[in-house]
Amino acid sequence: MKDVERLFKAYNAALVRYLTRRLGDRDWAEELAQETFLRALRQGDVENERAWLFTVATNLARDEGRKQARRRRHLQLLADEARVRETEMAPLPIEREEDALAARRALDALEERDRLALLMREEGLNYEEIAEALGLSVRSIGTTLFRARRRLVASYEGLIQEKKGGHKAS
Amino acid sequence: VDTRHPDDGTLLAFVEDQLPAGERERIATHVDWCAECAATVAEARGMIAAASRIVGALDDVPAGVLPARRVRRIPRWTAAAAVLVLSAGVSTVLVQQRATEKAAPTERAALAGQAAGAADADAGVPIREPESSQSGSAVSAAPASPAVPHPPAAAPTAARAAPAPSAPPAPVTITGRVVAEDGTPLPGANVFINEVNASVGTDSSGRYSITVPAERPRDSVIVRARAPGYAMQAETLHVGGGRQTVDLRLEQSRSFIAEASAGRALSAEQPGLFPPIRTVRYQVRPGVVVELREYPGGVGAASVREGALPSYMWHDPRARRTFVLSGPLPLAELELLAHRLGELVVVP
Repeated sequence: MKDVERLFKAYNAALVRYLTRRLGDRDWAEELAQETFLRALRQGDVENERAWLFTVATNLARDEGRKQARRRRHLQLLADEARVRETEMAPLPIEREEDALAARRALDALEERDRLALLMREEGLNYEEIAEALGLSVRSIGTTLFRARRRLVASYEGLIQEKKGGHKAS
Repeated sequence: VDTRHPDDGTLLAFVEDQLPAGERERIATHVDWCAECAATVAEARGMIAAASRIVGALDDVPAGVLPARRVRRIPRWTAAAAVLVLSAGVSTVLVQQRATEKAAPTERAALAGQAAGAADADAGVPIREPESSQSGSAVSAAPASPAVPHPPAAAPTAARAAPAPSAPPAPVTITGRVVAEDGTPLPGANVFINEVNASVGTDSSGRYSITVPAERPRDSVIVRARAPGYAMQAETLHVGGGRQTVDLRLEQSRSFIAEASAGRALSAEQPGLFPPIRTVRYQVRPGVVVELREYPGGVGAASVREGALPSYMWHDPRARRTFVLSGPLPLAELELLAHRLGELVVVP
């Protein structure tokens, strides 16, 4: 793709956010986003540049993350828990830290396909682009997103309820 | 009215305006007529908003496992340096960490010696991170105050590893080796523990020793390692558990990083791919002005068009920043200047 500078300006923020939400690590996300744009340089013109960028970013995250995924998630949870405990280091109100932790857990509880579809939708990709990026049929995207959102909301609310119950008990 | 109930996915697609025109009309008519599907549509709207709020909450912790990210100390560089490739008015800069180490060990040691004394005073210039990318453009949110990054120094451990004298918990020293997949030691790899702001480089046999200071007691820490051309690895160590050794095996990255390490030029035909986060100009002496540009990211390589001006580039692997200093001076002088940035006068 030629005009990579324009692509970078148009999509970098969205890609970094998407990857950060997906991976839970912004350093890593920036790294992969940058690599995505570098790959775009070598790529000929494509029909849908946004779908292409998200496809490449998703594949990069998947390739690199496959082996480490389980361990990373575990590390992330450890780190989140440690951070929530450490009010000294926490730059945010504790409630927001806990919300973020619950959100991370709820998101991690989704199936990969549901999670990716939802995060892409949150970045404004339309159903066709999501279908293209994930290799799914356009018809199935509505169902995928419906399920993803319902499960996300349900498990998030479950975690928040659990936490409130825990506070009362202690 | 079509009395067949559409499935949840179709109703959601309808709510999000993702249906082809004909189908959209059909579903609209049905929803008007069917209370059950109207309820599902309402539920879907609520879920869209709720899910969006939940996903947005993830952005409150943008830095993953870096709790103290808002204001970060610039670490002392372990051994990163740059090799400059000039071609036809375009300079492409690549980090070649190990090559440089081999090329100039004594020079680096000398610089380290110079830097060691002043290190604690001036290596800790805080850099304000751009605010989280909600503003839409991650790179435009340049901080107001131009912090002066300290250039590479090769004595990262000595000062930082010194434990606090009187705190009751003892400092914990973690040792280990960083090797490649095939067991080859990786010298010059960066080993770090974000939570305690500690970072060291590995020696020629890939060994390292890193200290968790006593004033920062932890139940557990995450030891991370990375090296140019390799994917980062991390391992959790339970500090109280008696285990003091962490060996890390890095897998080769099949990415551009590896290509960059191999010395191939990256995208020289695409200037300005990564606009600088900020540019600071310094007056070296009357009439001579150099420019310091800070680029986002930088996994080990950056490609920037520098016109005809000589440029010196270095890379901060922990802050994920690449710095380029360019000006009408010989390269050697630029490199020297990079180590003395604090003495220069900023030209607005």
